[in-house]
Amino acid sequence: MYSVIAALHREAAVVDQLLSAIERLDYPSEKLDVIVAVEADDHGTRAAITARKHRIPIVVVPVAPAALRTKPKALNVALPFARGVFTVIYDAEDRPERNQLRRALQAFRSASSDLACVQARLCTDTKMSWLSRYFSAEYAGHFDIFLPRLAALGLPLPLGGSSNHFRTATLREVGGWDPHNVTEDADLGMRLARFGYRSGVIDSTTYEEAPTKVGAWLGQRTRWFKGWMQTWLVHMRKPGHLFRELGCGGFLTFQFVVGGNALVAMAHPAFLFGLSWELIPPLSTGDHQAAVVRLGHYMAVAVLGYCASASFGVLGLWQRGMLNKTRVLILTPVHWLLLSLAAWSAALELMRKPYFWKKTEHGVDKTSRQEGRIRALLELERYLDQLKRAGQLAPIRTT
Amino acid sequence: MKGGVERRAVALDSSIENVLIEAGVRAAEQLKSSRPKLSAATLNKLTNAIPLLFGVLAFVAMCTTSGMNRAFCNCGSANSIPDLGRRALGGNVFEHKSKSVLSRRIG
Repeated sequence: MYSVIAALHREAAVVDQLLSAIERLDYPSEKLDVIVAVEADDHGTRAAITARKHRIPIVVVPVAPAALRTKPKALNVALPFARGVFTVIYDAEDRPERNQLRRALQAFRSASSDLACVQARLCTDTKMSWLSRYFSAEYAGHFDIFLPRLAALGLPLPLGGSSNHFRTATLREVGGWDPHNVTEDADLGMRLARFGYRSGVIDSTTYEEAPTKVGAWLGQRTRWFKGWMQTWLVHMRKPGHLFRELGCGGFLTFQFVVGGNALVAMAHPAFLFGLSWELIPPLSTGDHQAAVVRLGHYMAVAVLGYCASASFGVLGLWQRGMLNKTRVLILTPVHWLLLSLAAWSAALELMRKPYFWKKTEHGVDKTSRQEGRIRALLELERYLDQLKRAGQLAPIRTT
Repeated sequence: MKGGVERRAVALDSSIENVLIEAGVRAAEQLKSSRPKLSAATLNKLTNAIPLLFGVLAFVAMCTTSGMNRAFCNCGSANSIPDLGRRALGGNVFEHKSKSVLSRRIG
């Protein structure tokens, strides 16, 4: 049995898309255990689920709006209902590839029992703004280049928020998700590593929607930075213990990926501030030669930094055969400024509202949904073609 | 008879609600109660201020690099940002005062 858990809140617009994608998964329907955790007062989403004709049984678990209102809390409410040996988490706007559960199963069966989690690739297909296109490049670099390399080196993975496949027993053993952490995925990845478990990646994609407007993007990034800060603080309570549990490589990965990410984004404006300070005095005194030399130094550092950041995106897009979409990476300096803004507001929000979960609106991009449908039809066509070739499909006779 | 059924229905409904609320609370407290050291719920306000402090320190550290100091040098106002700060806080006045105290003592 394979459990599929999705936590939904104000997702009436995309609930049909999600459940259709789950129904399309290439897995015996009688072995699928679909659990949807919905906030009890979210009547819209519940009505949308009830109004739908399901092809597989779906368990709806209402989550009482008591104490916190976070995704990990909803997932924790749903976890005791999971009957599967394996459990996968999907977000509301997710469209996983049909082969995903089989690929995950294959990965678990071919590995030792210390493989606790496998992460599928996430890919955003929203093209409405430069931010969403940049998001696609970023995800390509992260899920196609960065995470597979970390997994190959046996280092702990900061998991993505969706399409994580777990051994259910191990997930329960490590205590499930932390409901107070707003990036419960990254925290869980580190916790699994601390308990001596490994995480891996699988060659299957889940398509998602990216935020298109600056406001929505900032809200999401602020939450991510806040969560990484929480994760860093939680695991760095006893650095000695962490070092012993993760080893030197794991400890350094944690520092660079979780802590360093936020710190670099916070320090970045100081660099730009320094650049302007370097330039203004020589220019004001008419010493243009000195200005050029100093500008050269600063630009060399800036170009190196931005290129290093953008190179992951280029490599990821290249791997996905989408090199024509690398143009957006020219905007890396602007993106970095926005990241800095998000990091600073996250640091402030962590003091005022540490457990506040800024909800990202989904169902905004209609083109990506249409593309998703086309992709599903193409997949179906391919599948029928395979069946026909194998002689498993009876010829359709028209009278 | 009808009243009894209604009462039972209401009682059942409210008990389900209580169970749900209880499950929600338990889910929210799960990690906090079983492994408090691994839960973000046990981070206090002061700890939550550490990232902001680190950010400010990183910012200040970058602002006081040699390049920035040179920039200030060129302005002719001070030798470095710390110098500027010292001057703003009356560091020079303090130096003058201590000199005069010393000279008085020596004298």
